[in-house]
Amino acid sequence: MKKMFRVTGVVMCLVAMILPLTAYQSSQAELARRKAAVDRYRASGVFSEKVYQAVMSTPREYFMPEGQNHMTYEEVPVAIGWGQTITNQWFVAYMTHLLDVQPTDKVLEIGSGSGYQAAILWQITKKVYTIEIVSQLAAIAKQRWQSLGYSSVVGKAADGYYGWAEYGPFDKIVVTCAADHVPVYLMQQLKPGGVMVIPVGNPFDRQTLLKITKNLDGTVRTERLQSVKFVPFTGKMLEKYGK
Amino acid sequence: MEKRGLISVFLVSMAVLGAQLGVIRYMSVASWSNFAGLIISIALLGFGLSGTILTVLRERIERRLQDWLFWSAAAFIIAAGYVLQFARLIPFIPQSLHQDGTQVLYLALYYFLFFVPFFFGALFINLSFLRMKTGINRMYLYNLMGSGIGALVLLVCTSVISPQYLMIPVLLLGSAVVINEAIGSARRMRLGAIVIAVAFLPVLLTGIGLFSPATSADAQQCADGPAQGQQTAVSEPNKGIWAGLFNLADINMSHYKDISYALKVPESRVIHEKASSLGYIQVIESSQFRFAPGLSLSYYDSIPPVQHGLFIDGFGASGIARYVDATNAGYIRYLPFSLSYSLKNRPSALVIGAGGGNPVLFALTLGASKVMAVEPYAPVVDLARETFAAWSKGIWDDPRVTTVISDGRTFCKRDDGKYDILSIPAMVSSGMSFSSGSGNGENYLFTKEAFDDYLSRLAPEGILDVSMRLDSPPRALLKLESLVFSWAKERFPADFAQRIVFIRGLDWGAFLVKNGVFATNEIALLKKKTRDLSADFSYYPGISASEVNQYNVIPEEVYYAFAQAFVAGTEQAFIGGYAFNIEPPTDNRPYFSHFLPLSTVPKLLGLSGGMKDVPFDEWGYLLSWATVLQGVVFGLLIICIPVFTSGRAFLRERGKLRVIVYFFALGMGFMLIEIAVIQKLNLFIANPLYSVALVIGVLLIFSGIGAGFASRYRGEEAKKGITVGVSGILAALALHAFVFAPLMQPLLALPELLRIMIVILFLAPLGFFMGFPFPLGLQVLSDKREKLMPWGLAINGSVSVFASVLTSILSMHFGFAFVFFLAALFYVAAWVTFPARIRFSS
Repeated sequence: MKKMFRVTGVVMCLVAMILPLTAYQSSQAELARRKAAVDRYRASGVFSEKVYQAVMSTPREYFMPEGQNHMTYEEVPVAIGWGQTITNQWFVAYMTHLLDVQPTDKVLEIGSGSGYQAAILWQITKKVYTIEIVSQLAAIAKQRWQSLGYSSVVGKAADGYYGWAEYGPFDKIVVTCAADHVPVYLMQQLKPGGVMVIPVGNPFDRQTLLKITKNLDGTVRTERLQSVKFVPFTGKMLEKYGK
Repeated sequence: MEKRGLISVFLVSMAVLGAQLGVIRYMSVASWSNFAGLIISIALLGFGLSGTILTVLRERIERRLQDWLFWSAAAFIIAAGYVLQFARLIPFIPQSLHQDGTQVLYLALYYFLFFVPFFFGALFINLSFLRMKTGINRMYLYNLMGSGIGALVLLVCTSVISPQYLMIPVLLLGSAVVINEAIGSARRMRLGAIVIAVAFLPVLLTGIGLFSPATSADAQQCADGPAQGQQTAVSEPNKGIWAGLFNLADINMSHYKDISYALKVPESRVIHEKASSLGYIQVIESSQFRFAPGLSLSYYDSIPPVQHGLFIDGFGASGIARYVDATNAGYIRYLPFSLSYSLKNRPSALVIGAGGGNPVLFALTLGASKVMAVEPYAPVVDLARETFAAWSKGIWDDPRVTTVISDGRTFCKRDDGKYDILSIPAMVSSGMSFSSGSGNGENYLFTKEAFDDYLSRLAPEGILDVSMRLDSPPRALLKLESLVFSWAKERFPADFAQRIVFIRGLDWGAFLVKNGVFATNEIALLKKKTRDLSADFSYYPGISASEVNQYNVIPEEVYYAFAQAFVAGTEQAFIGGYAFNIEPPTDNRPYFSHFLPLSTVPKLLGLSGGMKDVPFDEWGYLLSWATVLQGVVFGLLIICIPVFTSGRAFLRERGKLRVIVYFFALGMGFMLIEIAVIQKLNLFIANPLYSVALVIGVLLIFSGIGAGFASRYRGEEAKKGITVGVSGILAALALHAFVFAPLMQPLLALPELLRIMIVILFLAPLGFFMGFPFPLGLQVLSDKREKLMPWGLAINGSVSVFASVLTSILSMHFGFAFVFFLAALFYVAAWVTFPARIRFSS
């Protein structure tokens, strides 16, 4: 038995050593396309440097569905199956910028989708927790993070409406699917001083992107940022909370 | 022969009106009522087009008139028997109209589909006029009596029969006509039997349970409610084309309606459904349906309790309140409803729009010493108080609660109590509080006169509390601000600015209007409460610019700016310069939900951005214009077809222009009066169903009697007849303007039955004289120029395509007084152009 453990240990060590060497690497052409996109954002001067770096370091093409590589840097959401989409790169950068993620932050993402937003967050903080309601998508995203070496991203397939109390409270929460109200559970799991970014409105029409800050005294500050269109929250969120 | 014709026309008139109601009700539940209006208007084109066909083919038709009558009746019932099932097969999504070309095709399919039954029904009626050339007045009498009685009977049907089954009474009436027209011919009898069998096939197949939805038979029980065992018809998709065609039970509701959205939640289901005068009521049970409108994000405790969802025509989710004791009611103190209660200790409360009981529960929890719960719709209260008694126990039975079924305005007039807090929680009771109308319709709860009524019920220092959802771009809440401030400024010019507080949360806004001025300590209490809710002041007496937009930051604080404009006296410039219509509504123009200015109409034609720039909620107004535009285009076509197809003989006929103006003016005049009276009576009768039934019923029945009476004016006497008729109409309108209209407000205090009697007294002479001109004109044409008679029918019919909708638009922009004045002008125009004045060539 001991021998078996030892062999397994050796094999795992070897895998751990080899993995970084075999991890996905973007081609020079991909890097150039990404750089061009990031340079465009940089020219507008909206985001902080760490967001540009995070976008530049994450191989977005790896998160795209098969045959959709040409859409990688188009500014439109692309369908990834199961009624979900991968948000365009600019908007992911924008959401990350709004969160103002710090390296020590614990971040919860609701709606992992392709896994791209979690990957961007991982570039800034290693404490990323993400929930996806479609189990197939959750499995695919997990596989991607592992093969890219982002193994500290913790994901699960579940209904994000309830948040993830086990790992809470969180410094930042980002919701990447449309909801018609802000779930109390997520507010409960947001630290005082924490920030949540969530699209709120009719899930089947347009929504308003909200930046919610939980003040230290328990009051809440919300900012209505812009009109957006996300795919609907498909779990318990579909239950009305007083529409 | 004559008797048979009269019976048939009576029954068909009833059936056609029933089919209209059936289609409108079905479309309102399954889709959007705005589109139902658009489609029905094109369906009414059937009246115009059938008149035109008669003009063109008159000689050929007259040779085989009985066959034409039989087959048009037969086609009518077959079309009526299948129209709703075919409609279900069309996957029309209104919201995608501006971005998906195939939706235009689907809309066109709807047009065609709904056109067919009305075309054949109208063809039958118009053929009947041809059959009785000498008895046009009597024919018209039966036509109007049929429509009038049909309106009364079928409106009652809509409140007891589910929308998917509303065509069954229409089929019964149609079958009687087919049999009536087949009498005397064995061949037609046999064919008639086959036609009736085909029309009733879906009824039969559904009746024997062939297509029962799987969920229906299970008799699902509600845990705390009664054993309803109702069908969950809405959630069942079509199972193939055959089931789609022959299954009546399935409504196939649009996936984009509130109820469809709620039903997508796992474990949710319809546990109760019922047709009512209010609309089609459905109750949804879901393990997670919670109702806490405007709940503050600062609330971190246990989530609100599960409730039942209440939907009317698939819209407006609100809750059937579940009783909660104080330990579970903590969330109520974090609702905007609690704002006014922070200023009063054990207040007496009046709630206008009690709906499913939530506002009552809130008031009780917040310490009200007594609650007067006013709700206009008995079915909603019955549902909450009796059907789900176990669920809501403790709310309605609380000794502090008195429940009154009444419209808010009527209640304020009749009651003599004074209340510390008067709440109109539009966001809590959802569609219910908009008791006298919804959508683009009349809403008499939000007019300046309504606020006078509310003030009369406030105790000294009492507070009127009106809350509403915040909308984006700002429209409704801004219009409410416009109403509150302009009303207060007119009523209390000296200190209006000291009487109003306006608080804005994440997705709501609440106005507190005091019967007195706010004291400093009250403002301090409200500041604390507002902070607890993480809400902001948009206005309070003495507010400074640095205090706004703190917790719920919006890019531009228009609400504060608007309030300041009122204080500075520059509100007219603000209202005039704003992109939406935010003028304060009055009883003369009670259109709170009408926000689009006339300048947006070109967007319909794809100009200046097109429909995609207009929020979907506002499409109703533009669709009204679309209805008018399509009506004008098709109407012109109908009028022109005989000119181009009937050759020189028709072109040589003299007086065509007079015929056009005469029948056009009659169509417009009649519709303007009919629709505007319905809209006005929505306040006086305070029940849309009753006011529609009363107006259509009384007006049409008395028009029929008038038509019968006018038959004495024959030949040269006809000119005298039109003079008597038009003079009578003008006198009745003057009576309305100078006697009835000013008395309407004070008379609201009378019991409902007396108010109905007053309406009948007012409508009867009006209807009687309105019955004169149409048959007089037709008779003159029939006597002197037969060729032009069906053309008159066509012109009059084509007006109905758009006149009702045009009336609504005119009321919105110019008010009812203008509409009645315009109607009077049309009748004067008809008097001037009366066909008997035409010098016909020999």
